[in-house]
Amino acid sequence: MHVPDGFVSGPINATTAVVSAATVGFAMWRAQRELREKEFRVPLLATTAAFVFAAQMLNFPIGGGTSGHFLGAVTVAALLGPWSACLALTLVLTIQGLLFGDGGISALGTNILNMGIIGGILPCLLMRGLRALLPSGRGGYVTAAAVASWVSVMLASSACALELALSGTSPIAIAFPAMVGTHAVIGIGEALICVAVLTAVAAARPDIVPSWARLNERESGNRFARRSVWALVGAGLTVAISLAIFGSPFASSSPDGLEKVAADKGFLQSSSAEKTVWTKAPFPDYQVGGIRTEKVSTGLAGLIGTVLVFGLGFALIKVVARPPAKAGGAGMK
Amino acid sequence: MEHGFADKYSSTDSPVHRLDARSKALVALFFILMVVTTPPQHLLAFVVYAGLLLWTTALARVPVTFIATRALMVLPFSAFVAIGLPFLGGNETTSFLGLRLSVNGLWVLAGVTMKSTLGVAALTLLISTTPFSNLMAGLRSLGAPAFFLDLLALTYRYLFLLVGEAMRLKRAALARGYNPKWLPQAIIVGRLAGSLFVRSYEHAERMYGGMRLRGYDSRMPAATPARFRAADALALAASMAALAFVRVFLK
Repeated sequence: MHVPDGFVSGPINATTAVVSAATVGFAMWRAQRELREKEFRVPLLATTAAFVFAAQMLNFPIGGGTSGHFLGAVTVAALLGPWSACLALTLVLTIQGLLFGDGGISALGTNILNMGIIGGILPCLLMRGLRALLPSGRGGYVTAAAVASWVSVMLASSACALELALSGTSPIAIAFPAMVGTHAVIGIGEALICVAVLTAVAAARPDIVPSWARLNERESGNRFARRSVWALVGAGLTVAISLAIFGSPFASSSPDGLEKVAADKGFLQSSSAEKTVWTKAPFPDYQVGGIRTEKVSTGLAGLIGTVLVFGLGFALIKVVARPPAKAGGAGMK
Repeated sequence: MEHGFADKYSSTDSPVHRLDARSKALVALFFILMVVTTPPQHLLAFVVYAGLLLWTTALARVPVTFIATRALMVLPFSAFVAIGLPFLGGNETTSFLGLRLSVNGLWVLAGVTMKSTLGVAALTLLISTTPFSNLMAGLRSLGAPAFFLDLLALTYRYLFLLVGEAMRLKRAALARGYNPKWLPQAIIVGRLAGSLFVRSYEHAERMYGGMRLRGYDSRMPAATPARFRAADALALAASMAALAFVRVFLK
């Protein structure tokens, strides 16, 4: 899923780079602010990034003689919180791009957006929502982490397919089923690894899994209010993600979408409803390979919508449901 | 040693190695920007890009095979993503061995293959001629955020250590008869990864103790970058001019 140089068009690279830089900048600002009390985070973020890199080298079989590897964003998010996970993934992707030719430097913003932000921060919000809905206790915690891991891989690969399609590198009718189909299986491996890592770490060093340790604690009186907000967000996001993920492959697997590359027919020629959406988008004039059917474009719009809703929802929750004590937010200890 | 080092040639000596890290980093970035913005139809430009890269590799006395092997490792991604393009039809088609191939699809496939390979080759050359610490110091003096560079340098410091530990964990698992065939066995990889995380956390604890002992106060001491000499400026200007010329005039 590491996009090399030359696969994503300039304007998309620029857009994703700006979004990634802003998000990572915010994550760094938060980390630095926390550093006044928690200097330990500096070496911890570095060794965690090194851990993700090393763990990605442990391949697991996905059948048919092929293998997949760990992404790690949700696992790190469950252990250290979403912003630290985003930073750790940014470090990993930068090192992989610089030193190992794994992901291009011009596509670094795209890769950070896909794997660190869309695949890291957003599923972590889903995980919180799920934990509010599921019974509290280890079963609920592990289930939420597993689902979030799978969704993380699906979201990251969908975003990757979408960017490739918008760049005209691979038509959506090919890129989407290929990327998302493969990653639906890899995501199961990711979920298994996430669960195994969390249970192993909780068994060996329960003190470093703050969210796990908190399971047994009596929560404050504000608990019900916070839980219901997260439950609402979680339910909404689950529905939105299922629509985006399960809707789009159905649409794109229809023979209509496979018949032709739509190099000759871009997005702007589709229905007027789509046109109003896309002409107002930050990058309206792209030639979109392969998008001909309204179903596909609706699915894509749904995916983009999900991502936007996630971001807006998070901002809203941050404002509305500010935790009473300092030790709330990112699940850090 | 269980793994190769990505930057094993960075501490050798050559005229390219002696150039300032800032100038090399800027040229590599400029090279990649020029390459990715070149339309795939400008084949001559791509040939000259590759020629310039080979010439620099020879000057740097880095084995071409090392750069080429790394660069070719990016090809499976092109194969996975873009190999279907020529078969999808389109307005213009050409036939090859009885197959009807789309001209546009072929160009896109050729473009992404050439660009991704050249991009990796340029970065490998940068890393093979510049020690990582010099690169970090250079990027710092170019204005990259110090906090991020501190983290990046520490990550680099612990990277090969943890990769080594991962390889040892895997070897121990193989010695115990681990022979993965089915997806559910990913859970075993997960247990190895869990053990690896605990180890990485304990490395961080020891590292933090060591940092505090040496007087760490939430800021890393930064190396003063070397002086930017006239030769560095000349190399930077000449390379950028040559690349811009290729990008604009060669078709």
